[in-house]
Amino acid sequence: MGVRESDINTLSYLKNKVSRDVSFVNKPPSHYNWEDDEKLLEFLKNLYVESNPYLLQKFKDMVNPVGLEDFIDEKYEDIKPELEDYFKKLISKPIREEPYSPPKLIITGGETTLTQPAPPKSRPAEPAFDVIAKPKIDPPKPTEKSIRETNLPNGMVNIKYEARVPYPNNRMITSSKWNDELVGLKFEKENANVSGIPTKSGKFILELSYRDFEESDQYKITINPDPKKLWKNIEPPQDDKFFKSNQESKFEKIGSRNIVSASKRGRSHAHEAKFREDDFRSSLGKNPDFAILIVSDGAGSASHSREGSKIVCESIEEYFTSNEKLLISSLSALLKEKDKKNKNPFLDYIKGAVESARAKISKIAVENKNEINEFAATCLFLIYLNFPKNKKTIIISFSIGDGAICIYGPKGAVRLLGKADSGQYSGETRFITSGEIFKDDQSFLDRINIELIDQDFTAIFLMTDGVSDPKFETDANLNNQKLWDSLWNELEEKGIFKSLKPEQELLEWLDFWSQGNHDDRTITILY
Amino acid sequence: MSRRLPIYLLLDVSGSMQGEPIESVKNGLSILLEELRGEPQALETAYLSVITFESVAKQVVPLTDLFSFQEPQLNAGGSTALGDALSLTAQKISTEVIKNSADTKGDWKPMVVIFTDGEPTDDWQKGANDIKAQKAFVIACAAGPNANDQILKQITESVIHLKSCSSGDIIKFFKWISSSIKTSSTKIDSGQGTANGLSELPALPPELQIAP
Repeated sequence: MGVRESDINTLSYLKNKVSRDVSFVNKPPSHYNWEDDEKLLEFLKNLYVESNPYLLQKFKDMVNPVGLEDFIDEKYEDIKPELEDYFKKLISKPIREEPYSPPKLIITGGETTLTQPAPPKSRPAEPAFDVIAKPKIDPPKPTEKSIRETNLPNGMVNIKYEARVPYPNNRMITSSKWNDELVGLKFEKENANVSGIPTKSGKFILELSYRDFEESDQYKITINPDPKKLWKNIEPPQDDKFFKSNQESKFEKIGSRNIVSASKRGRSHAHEAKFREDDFRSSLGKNPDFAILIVSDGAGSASHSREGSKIVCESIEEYFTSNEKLLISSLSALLKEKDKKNKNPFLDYIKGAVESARAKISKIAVENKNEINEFAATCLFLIYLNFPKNKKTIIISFSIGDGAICIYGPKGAVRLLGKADSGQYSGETRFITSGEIFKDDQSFLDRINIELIDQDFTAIFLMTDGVSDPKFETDANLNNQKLWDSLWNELEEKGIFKSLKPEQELLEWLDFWSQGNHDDRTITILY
Repeated sequence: MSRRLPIYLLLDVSGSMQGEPIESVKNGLSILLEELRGEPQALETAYLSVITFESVAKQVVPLTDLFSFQEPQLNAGGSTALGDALSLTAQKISTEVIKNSADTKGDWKPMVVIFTDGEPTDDWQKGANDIKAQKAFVIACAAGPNANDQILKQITESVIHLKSCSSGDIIKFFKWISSSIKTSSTKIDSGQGTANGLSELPALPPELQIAP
């Protein structure tokens, strides 16, 4: 007399289910071996047939009475009539018709004793017991209103929602009720499905009642708001001493190339009525083949960093445009004295630019009785010097802090200029106001890059971390050519390089959505 | 994926929490979720885990984003295995929280919030050492007269004392925690990194005090 396959399935299901249910009511006595089906059934019989209405309910939920015949194999002939009787009873009437008065089960050591109170007069048939745990086992709460709560998957406003409601399959739903009808969700009795497009966020409850059961089920659905809609756009104070516009853009031509820049206040600042902290400048020199490009990101922790980034851009622009001639002489000095970098006029020349910005910040800080650190900002700049006759271009770059400078193309080539300067944790990035920048010439020199390149490059990028973080995520990825390709393609698809107003297009593009990345965004592209 | 702000809520569900206190904690957790879901920075960056402790500690919700977070069932009973909870949290931080490296931008520094109304009944020192090794920002709330401020002070310097375990006071604490999480996520969004001490968090309402 073997056990049928259906029994094995049922039994293994029961084992799981029961051991879970039972474990928080009472541990099965140790002599029950869960591998032993016969013993299991004996345990089940004791447990379910003899008492506890809570577990009876559980058992009723999990065993479809129609399949009962399958479950009770002839192997268990001896308990069959008893079980059948019992289930007939179960099906014919609700189990709990009146307040539940728990009797006591006292567990001492391994022994279990049941003290059963006199059954309520009105209902002699239904025995009941509760467990008093030692040292502690939580009795399953006979919930006052017999409402069971279940969580359904969460949804989001305006996104199609669909979930199956796992109500006990031996029940017939008589009514379904929402706590709020306006949410756009619908319950279909036929296939026990909740579906629809939620129209508002919050916690919504579907209550199901069943025929012949007092107990009802509550299914909770959390609908999340659409994060894009939560962002507010609030103007910063217009009369602020260090007022800065929320966005700025610029476009100009240099020879056969173009320079486009755009800078936009991030959602996180717009949400809090704060100013844009990024800034940029681009400027052509007297020499038609000279350009200076600067981007700067004011430190979030510094109260006047928007002014700091502005000063960085203005001072460096001013320095290079008024000292344009010195560039060539200092460069040739560098080429002649390769080995004596430290005493090179070229170093002094670049240093002069950074120092001029820093000095200006110091001056403004003193005038406003602020610490210089309150003006902390990053500093990324690039000198573009074209030699049309030689078909070569010299690129000199310098960087302090987060962001990226890159020569992109010709196809397949990416040259990232400058090392990542972001530190191990956020907030550790360096700023122009950090003392260590000028500590020694060597570390200053490390921030300078000089490249002599052919003129077949596709573009030169400068960007603050508001753009590089969402597009590259990690410092290592800044060397990933595929990511630069997809950035380029994205900009190209947007039509920026063919537009008559590329600066407008670029500003619009800066609104791209990237979850968790809502910093100010600034980008300059020479193409 | 952008960097996450991991938050571990360590909730005392020992026997003494039975009744009003545990119900208030449940309400507090609901309110916390609702508040955080209403603030875009928090909704997008905060990840929540719930670890309960009574005679043993259990992670009832693994680190989960706010979009899919579902409120756990909480039942009170048992003793107060705070040490076990701290060790479990340290272990979960080491497996669930992504560390910074050249190839991955790690998560933000985790925030651990301990809520307890009693004295630990287990070896809390070991737990304290485990959690310290993770360098998380730990805030402990000693709720009511039976909580032991002095032990909590040896776990973290940020200890808040809650005058009572009344529903009103517990909910005040959860509201303060949600505004603290919002503050931290806002700081992150403006590039300042996470909050690292009570001084960087919103002012405490009168029902909450910094433990002396």
